[in-house]
This record gives sequence, C-alpha cells and structure tokens, in this order.
Amino acid sequence: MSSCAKKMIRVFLLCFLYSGCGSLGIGNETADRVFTEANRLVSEGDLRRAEEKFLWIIRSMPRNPRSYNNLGNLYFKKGEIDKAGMQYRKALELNSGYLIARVNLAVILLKQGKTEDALQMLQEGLKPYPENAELQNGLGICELRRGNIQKAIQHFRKAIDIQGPNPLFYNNLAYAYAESNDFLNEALKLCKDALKAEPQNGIVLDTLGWVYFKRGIFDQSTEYLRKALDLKPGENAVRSHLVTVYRWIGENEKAMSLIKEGSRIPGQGMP
Amino acid sequence: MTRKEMRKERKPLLDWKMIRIPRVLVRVFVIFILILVLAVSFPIFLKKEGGRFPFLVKIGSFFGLQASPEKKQDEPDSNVMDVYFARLVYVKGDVNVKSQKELKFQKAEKDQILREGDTIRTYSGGYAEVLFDEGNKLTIKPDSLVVIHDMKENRLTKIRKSSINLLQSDVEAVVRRPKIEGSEFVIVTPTALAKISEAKVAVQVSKEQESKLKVFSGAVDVKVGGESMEVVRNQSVDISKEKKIREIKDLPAPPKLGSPENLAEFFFKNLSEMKMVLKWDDSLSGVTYRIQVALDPYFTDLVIVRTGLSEKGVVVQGLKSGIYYWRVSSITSEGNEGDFSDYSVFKITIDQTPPDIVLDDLLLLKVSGKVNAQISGQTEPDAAVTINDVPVLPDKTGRFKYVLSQISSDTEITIVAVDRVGNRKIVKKTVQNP
Repeated sequence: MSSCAKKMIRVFLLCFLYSGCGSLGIGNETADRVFTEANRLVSEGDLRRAEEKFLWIIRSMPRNPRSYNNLGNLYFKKGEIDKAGMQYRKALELNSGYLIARVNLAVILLKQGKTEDALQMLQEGLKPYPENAELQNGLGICELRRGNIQKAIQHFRKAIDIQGPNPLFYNNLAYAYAESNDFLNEALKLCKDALKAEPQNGIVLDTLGWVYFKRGIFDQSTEYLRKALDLKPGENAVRSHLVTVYRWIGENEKAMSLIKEGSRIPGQGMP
Repeated sequence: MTRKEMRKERKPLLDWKMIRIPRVLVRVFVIFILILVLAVSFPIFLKKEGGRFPFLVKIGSFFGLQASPEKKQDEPDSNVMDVYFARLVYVKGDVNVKSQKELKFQKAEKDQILREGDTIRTYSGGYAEVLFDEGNKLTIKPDSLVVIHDMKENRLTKIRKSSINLLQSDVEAVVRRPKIEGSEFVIVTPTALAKISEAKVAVQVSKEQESKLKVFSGAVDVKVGGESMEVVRNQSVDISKEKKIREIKDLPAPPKLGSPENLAEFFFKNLSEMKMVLKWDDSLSGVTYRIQVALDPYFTDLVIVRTGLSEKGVVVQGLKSGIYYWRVSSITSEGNEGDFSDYSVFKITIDQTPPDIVLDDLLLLKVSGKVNAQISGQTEPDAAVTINDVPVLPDKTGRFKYVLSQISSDTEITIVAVDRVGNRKIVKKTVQNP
C-alpha cells in the first residue's frame, strides 16, 4: 500500500471516530429519533423502556451531556436521587456550561440536605450567566434553607425581574415573604396569581395556605393546606404546615390524627 | 366472440327499465336538492370576504335573503363590551343587596354574585367586602350605600372600566395595577369623581354630601366640578357639597408593628394575670396613635380601641382566651389620621387545667437478673415531665418514655407534668412483683 493511500485511510478513520458515533454506525438522526421516543416514554410513564433507550443513546453517543441529563431526570422521577445526581454530574463533566444539569444537580443536593454544596454549584454557574432566572431561583431556595430570608427574597425578585411572570418564582417569593412575616398582602397576590396559572399545583396551594395562616385567616388556610395535602399526601412539609395551623387554632385532635396518618406513610417522620 | 358481443351477452343484475319513476317526482326531487344546497352554501359564501361570490349575493337578494350580520374577523367592533361580575367575599351584620331589576333590598349572602346596577346597603354594624374580577377590593363600612355602576370589558382591547357610585358612605378600596394599560376603577361621589389605576384609598361621603378622599398608596386623579387634580400617597382632600376643594392635607405614614411578633402565643394562669405590651415603631414626632385590637382580621369585632396615645406602646389587660388582631394608626396634631399599619395576630390562652397524663402499660425488662421498668405515656405538648425527679424530654406531641433501672418490689414511680403556666399534674404508680 502506498504511503498516500495509508494517509488517506488514517484521515478517514480519524474523521469516522471524531464523529463520535462511527463505531456503531449510528447517525445523529437516529439518535434524535430515539431521544424523542425516550422522552415520550418518560412523559407516558413507561420509565423502564425510556431508561433502556437513554442507556442505548449514551452507549452510542457517550459525549452527549443532554442524554445524561435526561437520564438523570428519569431517575429523579423514579425517586432514585443518588443515581440522578450521578447522571447530572456526568453531564456537567462533559459540559460545565450546561445550566439545566447544574440546576438539576443543585436540586438533588438540596434534597440530600447538602445546601452549601448546592449553593456553591449555583454560584459557579452564576459567574458566566448572572442573568439566568433559574440560577437566581435556585440560589433563593438555598438561602431560604440557610435561613437568610432577605437574601432569598432578593434572588427570587431578581428571577422574576429577569424572566417575568412565572408561577414557580411567584410561589417561592410568596413563601419567602411569609417566612419573613412581611409583605404578606403582596405574598397573597403572588400566590393567587401563581394559582391561576397552576390551579392543581400542590406546592402553590401549600404556600397559599401558609400565607393565609400568617395573615391569621385560618379557615382559608386549612382549606388550601387540605387541598395541598390531598394532592401531595407524601409531602412532609405540607403536613407539617397543616399540623401547625390546627395546633395554633386549638384543633389538637385534627393535628394528632394528621401526625398519625403521616407516620403510616413510608419514609415520613413526625412533622 | 368480440368484446362488444360479450358485453351484450352479459345479463344485467337488475333491469332498470322495470322500475318506473314518474318524471314529475324526479323534477321535484332535483329542485328540492338544489334549494337545499343553496340554502346551506349561501351564508357560508357570503361570509367569505363578502364579495367573492357576488353573483350569489345578487341571487340571494333577489330571493330576499341577506348576508348574516356577523362582522368580519379582522375588523371587530371596538365598542363591543363584555360585562363581568364581582363577588361579596365577606358579609357581617346587616348588609342588604338590591339588583337593578328588583324593587326591594334582600339580605346579602357571602359569595353572592354582584352585577352592574346592584346596590349594596350596610346598616349600623354591617360590613361587606366586594372582590372585583380583576382583584380589586372594596370594603364597605357601616351605614353606607354603594351602587355598582359599571363593570365592563372591551372585547377588543380588554380594557376594563369599573365604577361605583357612593351616596352616604364610608368605603376603602384597594385597586391593583391593571393588567391592561388604560383600565381604570372609578369612584363617583355626589361631588367628585376619582379615577384610580393602582392605589389604596378611603372615601367618605357625609350626610351633607361632603366628600373626603384619602390616598394611602399610589395616586388618584380627582375631578371636582371643572377642576382636575392628582392626589398622591399620604394625602387627603376634602370636597364641599358645593363641589369645591376645601383643602389638601398631608397624612402621616402608618407605623410599623414591633412586638409581639406575628402569631405569638401567650399563656396565663388567670385572667387577672393577663397583661401584655403592644409596641410599634414610628419615625414621626408630634403625632398620637390609635390602636385597635379585634377578634377578626376585618376589624369589625373591636375589643380594644384607644386613641390619643403619645407613647409607641400600650399595656393591654384582661383579654380572654382567643385569637386577636391588632393595628395602629398615626394622627397628626391637626387631627389628620393616616392609614392603619398592617395588622398582626396573637393568641391568648388562659389555662387553669393541669396537663393530662395518660400512661401506657408498664413494661418490665429483665437485664442480667435486674429488673428495669419502661414508663411511657402522653401528656400535653410543651409540658415539662419528670419521673422520680428525673427530667424527661417529651417529643413535640407530648409523648414521653423513660427507663427506670433496678427497680424492686413496691417501687413507687412518680410522674409529674407541668404545663407552661405552672399547672401541675402528679400521677403515682407502684410496681408490684417485678
């Protein structure tokens, strides 16, 4: 074989490998199709088949951060928090500027109680993207967890300034206001606006109920917290809020029965 | 055999000549179908840009048919208004409502829908709160007569116009920033018209038809006679019955509540012991304060009202067990009262009942020949528990558990629970034959 032919083969092989999917002979179109199908399966709730598809894409295109992120989302949906975190980390290793994976990883860290790590993770993301609403919102949640309510309020306000009306950001700002015992009328307005956009969102219903409690409007408070608990019976925070309200208004039997009910749910402690 | 011959050979399945339909019947049927097609297609064709099928229009007009009066889609009538509704979200005491079509007032109900032309009347001690569709709130105080004049939304621009007419009245309105620019909330009194786009205002109309408008936040355009002016935050304007502006006054800003913090709980053993201090902050000097303590967040059930307070705090005594709401306003030396502060909530518990102690069955555990006893039970949340003088920490629900080691026959166990105000309960139990 002439040296020229050898060179040509080498160049061809390099190009083939560089494409990242040459070894299996998979084209981008096929990968996209499988990716879309996997996402569809996730939305339909067929998580087992969706997982198979994502793993297949990852085997075929191991340098695509989006696949790891979506597989992480799938594990998150399955409640496998640690596995989800690992996938988000892999996505970030491949692309440190991948903000969605960064925010998702921060959510995992918050769930694991690693507030400081989550905060650091989001602050790193904020350096190149100071005007990212999701990061600001995430930082707000971290600060709320750390008890820095005023800082949390600043972050949530900034998130709203950047992105405009968003039920999740409204909800978070309202909750921070409630925790600060300040701007409670504004908190009520924000919650009501969030609820208009998402009337069946248990988190928003919980916040509205909690704000009503802070306002001393107890019938509305218990009504909304009850609705929230019906939608999210496994959410300890919602149960804890309702227990607090019942105790405060002297309905101790209702509070006790809620506690007992909660202790029967696996993974629930006493609120 | 040729193909033609073969075809001729084939016998038809049905000989059509066998069925004879009268010619007249066929004609009638064809005409009927034609009329049906025309009737269906005519209005559809006409709608399409009106002139695409002019011949059909002519035919239609010849037969006396006209195009439907429906408007073209891209040219909606800018004057078409949709009516929306308001709701009575709070009613207390004597409150009546009269709809435009009725002659008599009817008793108002909570969550009652209010429409254009409805009149709301509150009598002495009567309060009502009206929530408009766009989130604006109108609080109607006792002895008021309010007419909902307009509640319209422009179908094209979505601009909303709400207006209420006040006769002798005392109302407060909180108007939110409109979602659509140009929307407005108008309050009309016998002597003035106030256009509000985002503000908190209080309006009083006296028996003598004099009006007083206070602006606590935002700004309001006020028209009096031919004169127009803007009244801004913490300003008040008095308008005479002759439709003349008497004067514009500055109002003091509301104080900020200090202690107790919102949702604080206080426990007392006796009503005579009940004593607490309510404090607030204010940067103004030379003002006095009015404090209100009520049993409801609308401040309709007032239990304490004190005015002329020069200190930024007041001692409150003799409140029974219950939930209380309190707020403060500042009053200038000229007697101009500003808006009330935001309210805060506190709870008083007069507790003379000792905490209950419910013990579980005693659990005896033998460890290396010695007997230990596990005592567990339930008491009031937050009660302090001791077992044989050893403090035991109950959980949030009041459950406690303690292991008493090396007990012998006839060992006496004394469980004491003391609640927050010092009520004490003692339960004794003797262990027999461990």
